[in-house]
Amino acid sequence: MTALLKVKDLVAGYQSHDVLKKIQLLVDEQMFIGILGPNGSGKSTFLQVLARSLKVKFGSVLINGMDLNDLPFREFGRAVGYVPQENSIPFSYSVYDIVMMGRNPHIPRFRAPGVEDEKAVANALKQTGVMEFADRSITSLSGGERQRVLIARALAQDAELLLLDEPFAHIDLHHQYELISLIRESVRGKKAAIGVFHDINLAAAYCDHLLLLYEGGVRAFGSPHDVLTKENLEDVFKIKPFLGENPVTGVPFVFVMDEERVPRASDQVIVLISGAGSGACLMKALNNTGYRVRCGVLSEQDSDYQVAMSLGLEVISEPPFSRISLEHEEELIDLVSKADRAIVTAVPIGWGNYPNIRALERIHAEKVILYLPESGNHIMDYTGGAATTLLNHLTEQGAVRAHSIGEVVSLLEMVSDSGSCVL
Amino acid sequence: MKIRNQYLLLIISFGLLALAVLGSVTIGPVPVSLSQFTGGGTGSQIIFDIRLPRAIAAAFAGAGLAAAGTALQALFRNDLADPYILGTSSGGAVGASLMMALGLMALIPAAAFVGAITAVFLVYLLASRDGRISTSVLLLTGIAVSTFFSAVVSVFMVFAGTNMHQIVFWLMGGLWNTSWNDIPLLSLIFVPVILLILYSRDLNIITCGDSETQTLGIDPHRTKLLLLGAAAGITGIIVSVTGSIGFIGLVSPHLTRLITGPNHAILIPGSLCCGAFLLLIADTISRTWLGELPVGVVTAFFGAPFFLFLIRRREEL
Repeated sequence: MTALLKVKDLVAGYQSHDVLKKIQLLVDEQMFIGILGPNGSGKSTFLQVLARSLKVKFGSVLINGMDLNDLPFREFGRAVGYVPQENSIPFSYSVYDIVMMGRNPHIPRFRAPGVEDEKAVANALKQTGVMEFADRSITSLSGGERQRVLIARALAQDAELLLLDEPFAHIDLHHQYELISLIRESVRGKKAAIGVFHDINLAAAYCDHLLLLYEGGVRAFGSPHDVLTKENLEDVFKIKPFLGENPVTGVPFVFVMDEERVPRASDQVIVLISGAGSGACLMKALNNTGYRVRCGVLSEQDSDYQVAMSLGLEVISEPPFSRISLEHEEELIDLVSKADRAIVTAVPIGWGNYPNIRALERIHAEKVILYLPESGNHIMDYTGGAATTLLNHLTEQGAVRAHSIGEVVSLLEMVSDSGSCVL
Repeated sequence: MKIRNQYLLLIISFGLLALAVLGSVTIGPVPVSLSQFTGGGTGSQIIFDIRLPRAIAAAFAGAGLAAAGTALQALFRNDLADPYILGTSSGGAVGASLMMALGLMALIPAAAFVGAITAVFLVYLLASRDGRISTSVLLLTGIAVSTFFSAVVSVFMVFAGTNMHQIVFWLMGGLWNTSWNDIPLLSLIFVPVILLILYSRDLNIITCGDSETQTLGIDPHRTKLLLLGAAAGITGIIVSVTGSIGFIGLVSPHLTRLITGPNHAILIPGSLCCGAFLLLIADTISRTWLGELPVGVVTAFFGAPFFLFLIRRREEL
């Protein structure tokens, strides 16, 4: 069986400058491929070559076994549909007329559009939610609406291979997800789609294959799991990625850390007092930003404990449902007294974990950050006021409050800037 | 408006155009009524030998210029394009005036045709960058090419000797010389005009963007060359008969688009009708009340302000 699209040793670009250097790609039916890569990696150039806007300089592009350059254009139009990144239409065609243009490769020159064409257009208008604009002029629509019309045109074209060049740039979030599901739905039977995406997570969630381009070559091609690795993302995007998992679909989910902050922070030791999941996000953020995070006493069943273990952090832990033992309290005090900073999250405090915050008396109060997101300024206190009193005392002594991870990070930076504990 | 109603309107318009042609021949410095048409006297001679061929020539030339203008606006993706503004007419003038200077009157149409085609491709090549054409670059290139060709025409005029005044009058663009002999040549424009109508779907798609032309099943280079050639051919034929008449090709598509919208299947026939009306009216006015002022002067008086209005209306150039 011949592949729907076969790209071999493709070299292409502008005048003397080759943007694409020996690209290989094999696309079979029913694939939905997302192309990722930084600016200048050749994503759009690649699509332009496939859409025949740019010439193949070297190598070959075969569609159903036929060389791209040998395909008559009408046949090419039935094989490949294209949604451009941007489009300025200078004349006020009706939306219906624009979508009908997608049928052009199917309509003989001396014939008017037939019933089948009208049906395909009506269907595409409905699917993309632009039916209500059908009679309006394309020039009167917003950027996002216009983009949906162009997607409708490509769907009406009913081509085997659909090319999308950052099709969602101006489209509302809810339409984005609707349209990308629609495109994935359309990749059935003998069809396939290739899209350039800016949003890594959108591509990972919907595409079954990702193609990572870097400096004009294929850096990786495969399932999102295989492509979105820490090394690939660091090398290609020059970011410090944190890889989580989409809780619903299980595909990788990429968070990005601000790379500038990484080297300055890396030598600080931070003790994190948390529990009941209140510290998980902060823990990940700080660890990925490069701080050396130590976790105060956590129960082995606590979700914070599991996150800390998955990050490979140093943790002092107790078996489930037991109070903090004296031995572990002393260990924590030792840790706190040597740390650069200590952070307490909004963990509910009872007598069982009270030693966790009592340990904070062993560090200069100005080095303590109370991280209280959303819930306001109070911690749930099940110690009859003892915990609140202690924390208030710390605040009076100079402990600071932060309400977001960003605030925490900037507080930490202020210290590393001034070199000591002075705020 | 439904497409069927548009075609109905079109048929009515062409009917009105035919009536207008007949009506215009009764108007002139000497009033002649239609009843004298078959009389065989002087009245019949004036109508049949002088005014009727001239009216038909005006209608054909106006229709052709409008069709060429419509096609150029689509191919350049710019509604300020027009055979006169883009230098197509002056390209034709170079060819025609060369033949006049050499005294080779029979070769004027062919030379005008070659000149017009050269000009349109020259402008296209010079103004496009990576297949894109910005309005300002297009207009400036048109001016530059026009100016250059006008200079070439001046050179020919200097060397033309006794034929010089002929070139001068012809350049101003007029229909006073037209006779039945010119009608067969002018009718040739309908070959490229019909080609343009047959390619109206392609024109629609070409106006909508460069990148998707191929994926919508059109060979962009071959189609553009063919259609540019058709527009230039129309212009060349008309220029060789009437000299350069400006702005009909600019104004007609604009007026027609207001009624029909931009779909070329209906816009081109509509434009044909509109252009024919405009030039017929302009020529009737000039020969009746303006003492045979060249009609190119009349169209420029009305067209140039319209052109400025279009430029002012644009947000960016």
